[in-house]
Amino acid sequence: MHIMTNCEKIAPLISEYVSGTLNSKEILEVQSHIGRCAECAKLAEDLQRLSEALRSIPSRQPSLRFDESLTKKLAQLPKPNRKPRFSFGGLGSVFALAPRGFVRQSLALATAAAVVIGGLVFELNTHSNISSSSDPGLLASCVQQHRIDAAAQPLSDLSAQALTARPDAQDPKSDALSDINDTENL
Amino acid sequence: MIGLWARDAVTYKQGICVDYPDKMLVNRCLAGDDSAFSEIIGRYKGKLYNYILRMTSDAEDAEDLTQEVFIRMYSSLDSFRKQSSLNTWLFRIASNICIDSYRRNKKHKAIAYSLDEPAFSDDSSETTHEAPDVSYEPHRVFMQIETAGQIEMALKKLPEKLREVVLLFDVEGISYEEIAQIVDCPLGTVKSRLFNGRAQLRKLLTDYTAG
Repeated sequence: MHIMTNCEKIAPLISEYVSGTLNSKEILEVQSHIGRCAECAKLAEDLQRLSEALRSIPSRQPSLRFDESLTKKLAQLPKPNRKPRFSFGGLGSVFALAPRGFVRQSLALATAAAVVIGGLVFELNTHSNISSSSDPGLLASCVQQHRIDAAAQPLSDLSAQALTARPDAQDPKSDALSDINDTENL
Repeated sequence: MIGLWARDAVTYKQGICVDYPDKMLVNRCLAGDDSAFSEIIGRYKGKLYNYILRMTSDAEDAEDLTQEVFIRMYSSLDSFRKQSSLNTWLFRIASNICIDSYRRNKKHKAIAYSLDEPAFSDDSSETTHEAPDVSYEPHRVFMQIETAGQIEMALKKLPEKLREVVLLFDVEGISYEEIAQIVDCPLGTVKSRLFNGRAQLRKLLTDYTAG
């Protein structure tokens, strides 16, 4: 059975020492060992020089036709179906200056929620005003006003013809109800 | 607070944007902006090409495989979860492509690597992969600074798994943690492979300098 010597145990730490990834306690341990052991001191020196030499290997560039060739290959691929994900992209200009992370997302969510709620409230109010069941009197008065306006200028408003053609002699209450049900004219 | 604001900062020189963070480029790609994809290619093709070239030792293969990295990236960008950096993701694709190519290409069989076999099959006295003899001929002098050519030749002789970690850490300057993600192995294995790779390189270069 092979029993590791102290040098064999410390050698991996010497590699990390060269990498600069040891904590202060481990650094002291390595420095203490290489101060006493010439062999490990040599290893540390060699690995340091090796690491520096590797960092300075000159880079090479791909050939000049690399881009052209890649472009051709990419052109043969089916275009990825990238539907824009739900994001705050539309609000990007607004939030570009805001801090990122939680605060920024919270601001975006709050704004989005406000827009949605506002839209719902508006939608409900609009429907309740026009709805035939909620305020028939208001609707009837609108229709009546429209008739008066159309009667004043019968030829300039073709859409009013159906209304103006109705007999005016009817009871205002029944008139209002029948017009309410005539959605084509509204 | 400044850190929060500065994290997405874009560098401008004479009014021209020269440094979009990778994350912004990825977002632009996902939104269908092809110019952002071109920018990523420009930013990474050199690094990836050099890494793949040193893994394959064949300039023509290296170009094809580097292009393959970008093709895979283009096709699978939607699956990029941004849990790692773009750099890590691209090197992971490159690493996988090199492994695939290595398996396909029989000409690399000569440097096939097995943990159970000696590092250098033509010499039974050589060290094994996981337990290099760091006390190898300590009287020998590793004095002169090796030329880049000698280092590249020595790198070629390293087993693939050791070489990729040495390249990623010492040449590309990628952290242990990122390398662990790229090669998909524990942090301890990365450290061990780096140490073994360096120890074997040291030995090879010592042999060169000793003539």
